[in-house]
Amino acid sequence: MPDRLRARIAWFAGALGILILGSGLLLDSVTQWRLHLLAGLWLISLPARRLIGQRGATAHRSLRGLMLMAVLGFSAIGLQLARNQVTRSEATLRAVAALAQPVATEQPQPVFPETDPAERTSLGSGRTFPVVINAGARGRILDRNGVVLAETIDGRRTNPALGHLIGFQSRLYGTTGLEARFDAQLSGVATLSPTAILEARLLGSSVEQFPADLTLTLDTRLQEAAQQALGERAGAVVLLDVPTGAILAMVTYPRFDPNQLVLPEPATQADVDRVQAAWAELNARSDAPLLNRATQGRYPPGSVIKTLTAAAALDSGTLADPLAPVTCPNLLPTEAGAPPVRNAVDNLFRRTGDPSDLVRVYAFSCNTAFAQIGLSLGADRFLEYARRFGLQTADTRSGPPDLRDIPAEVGTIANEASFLQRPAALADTAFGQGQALVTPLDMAQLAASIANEGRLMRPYLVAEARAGERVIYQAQPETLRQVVSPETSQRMLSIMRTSVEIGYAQPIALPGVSIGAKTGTAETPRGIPHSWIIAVAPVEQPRYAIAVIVEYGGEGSRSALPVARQVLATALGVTP
Amino acid sequence: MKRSVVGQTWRCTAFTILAIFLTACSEPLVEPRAPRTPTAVIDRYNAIVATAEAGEDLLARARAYYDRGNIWFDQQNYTEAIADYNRALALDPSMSRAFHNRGLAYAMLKEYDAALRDYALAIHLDPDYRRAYENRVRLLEELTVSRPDETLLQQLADDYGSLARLIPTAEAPYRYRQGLILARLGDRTAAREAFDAAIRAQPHHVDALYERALLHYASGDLDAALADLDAALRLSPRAANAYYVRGLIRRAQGDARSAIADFGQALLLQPAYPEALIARAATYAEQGNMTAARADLQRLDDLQLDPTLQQAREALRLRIGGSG
Repeated sequence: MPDRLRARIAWFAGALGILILGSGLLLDSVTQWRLHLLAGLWLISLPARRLIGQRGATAHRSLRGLMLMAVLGFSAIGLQLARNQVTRSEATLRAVAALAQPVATEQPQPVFPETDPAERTSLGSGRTFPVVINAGARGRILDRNGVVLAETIDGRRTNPALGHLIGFQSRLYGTTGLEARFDAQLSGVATLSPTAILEARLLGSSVEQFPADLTLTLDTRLQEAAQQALGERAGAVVLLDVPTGAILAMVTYPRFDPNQLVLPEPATQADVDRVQAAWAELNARSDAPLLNRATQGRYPPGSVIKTLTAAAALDSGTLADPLAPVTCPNLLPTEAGAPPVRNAVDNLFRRTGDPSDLVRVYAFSCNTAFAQIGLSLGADRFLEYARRFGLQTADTRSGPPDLRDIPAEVGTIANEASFLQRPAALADTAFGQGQALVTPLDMAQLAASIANEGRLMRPYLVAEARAGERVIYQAQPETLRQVVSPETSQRMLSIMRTSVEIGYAQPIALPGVSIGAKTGTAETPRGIPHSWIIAVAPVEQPRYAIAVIVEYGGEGSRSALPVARQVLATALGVTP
Repeated sequence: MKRSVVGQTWRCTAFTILAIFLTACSEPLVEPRAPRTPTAVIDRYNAIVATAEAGEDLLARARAYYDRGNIWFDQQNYTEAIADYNRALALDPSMSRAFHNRGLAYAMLKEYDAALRDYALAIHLDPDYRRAYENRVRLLEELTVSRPDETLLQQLADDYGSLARLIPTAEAPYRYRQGLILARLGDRTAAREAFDAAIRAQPHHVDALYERALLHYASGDLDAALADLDAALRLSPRAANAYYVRGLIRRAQGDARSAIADFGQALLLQPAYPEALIARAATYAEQGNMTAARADLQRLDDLQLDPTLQQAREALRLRIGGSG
């Protein structure tokens, strides 16, 4: 390469080095600045080396090279210092000013950071006030006639007998039952205005809170009658108001005292230990006292399900009318390999007649007759009617239970819909065996819908919530669906009444009142069956529908029937 | 060839040394903080104290102790500093600066009650002792965060007032702070006077305008509150919380339409503004526009809410019947 070209390149490199150094002074990043510094100095060194020359002795060249390095090194330090003075000019100025200022004679002005008001996105201090909602105040719970069922006295809710419905408020185990579902109304949060809370948060003002009283649909008189009639037998009673679906009485046994789960305020360690021991004991008991059997107990329905089968057969036209001929053989083979359907007693046809009709086979609870009716209905139609009455299959169970005020389970007619496709399974289910599991509330609703011109009503427990004069919650009777026609309903009522007049439900009869009923005896693995009954009264203008189960109570007419009779007698004002 | 390799190695070494040297130079060469007093200086002050003790002049002796106390303080030896201030004050109890400096030393040792006592004595001796006020304010601001004691808050408010008097150029910010503390204490009248003074000193003090509007709102003077907020919003048209508060006031005045517009503007400026969402949803619900109310309620589900806002949301949900 010609020397002239090499000289030009060197000078060009030098100029480039100066540019790189200059641009580096403007950089914020220290690392980038150092790179610029090194690169720039190296480039500047190229023309400088040409200037100091390559000739002469090695010692001379080395000495010149060292001089060049020293010059470049001091230049680097100078540049670094210069850059620091620029980038840290403020700190430097402050330091210099501090040096210049005499100590403790003149004080600097306080500095308050100021932003251009136009750029402000928030004004003021931004403080907020905590809004205190009084969790201690709580409304009362009254029955439909204004009788106080629960109120807070010294932090405790009264009336332990209604623990399954009212629930409890435990700092250890949460809030349950009506206390949980209507917490907003009972605590008064429902009466709070959201904007009042916002104002209180902004301005520190107080919020007005009015705990509301809950009025239930329960009738204390009927509740106590049901409680007394059931006694200390495991089971449940549900009494519904037919036209509205309102729950007039709901009893379950065993019960528990919710107060034993409530910690006093303030609580000692002994209180905590006591509550924990009570909770452990309640959970350990084999008779499951925390379970509300009326809404959460799922039992095989026994023969009370024949009411559903009969209504489906009449409503669908499978049986033209209640007097259409039906047989009641001792045995009914259903499919190869499956045991035939049997009646609970031999030669039942002697009571039902042969051929018989729907009225008489219902009254005497003929299994073989209802197995035939079920098979005639067919699996799909039977399932459709079961669903209309609110029973589902476990595999397709969907949606919440009809009762929304307290926890409830949804009854099922079979585990899987396909189960009913087998003739033996369909026949068994139609007369009350198979896989069906229902709650006492389900069966009370079945009876009530039959009595209510075929309309299934939503059951409810809370009629209204009232804060002073202000009603903040009002339940309205709600028709869920028409399950059977009014005509079917009338026919079924007549069939149920005959069951009381001539059939197994005869002992429920009360003087001067017409009652329709169906008993049930649900087989259990323990051998002793559950005792069931459903009933409606008065048949002419149904007002009450009841379902009773007594666990391991034997035949339906033995244990459950007297309970239903006593409750209906109280409701109807009749002396049994 | 060999010479070239040696030369390159030499150059590489030289550049590496240069790079290391430059790295060492990267730290700031000028510290903003004044350097600490060298430890050796204390010996000089020991000598001064010894000389003063030998003399009869008690005030000179007190001054010598005070000066040495300051040196100990500067060396962060607060215990020795307090001992010297004690000696100085025993000789001359009128030394306001010794009280002040001892208070500062106590504050550094986190003996806050002693610090406050000394500041108070310093200010008692010299009611215009600005630095004593400033240091007491700094300490009270720190203390009242964890100890919102009424006496401390009242003291803080008074000190802000004194500083506003002593430093006319900073009157507006000090009066504003005084107003905030007085409002926190619930003394609305005094707070409003403080905000008035702040606005007089600095008519464009948007924070004082906003806070005064809140006071008017709390006392029910909605028109005055609106006037202040309008003035604040003219200066700060991007202040979302001012629109929100103006919306609340307009809603309280029965002007639901303007209120919804203000809440909407607040949400436009600050989309994740739960208070504005709740307020707008409640106003929509009052207007019967449940669809819009439920839409706002649904937006709330995506936001983190503190317990008070959760209660407001539940109250709103109960009112408009949303799921949840």
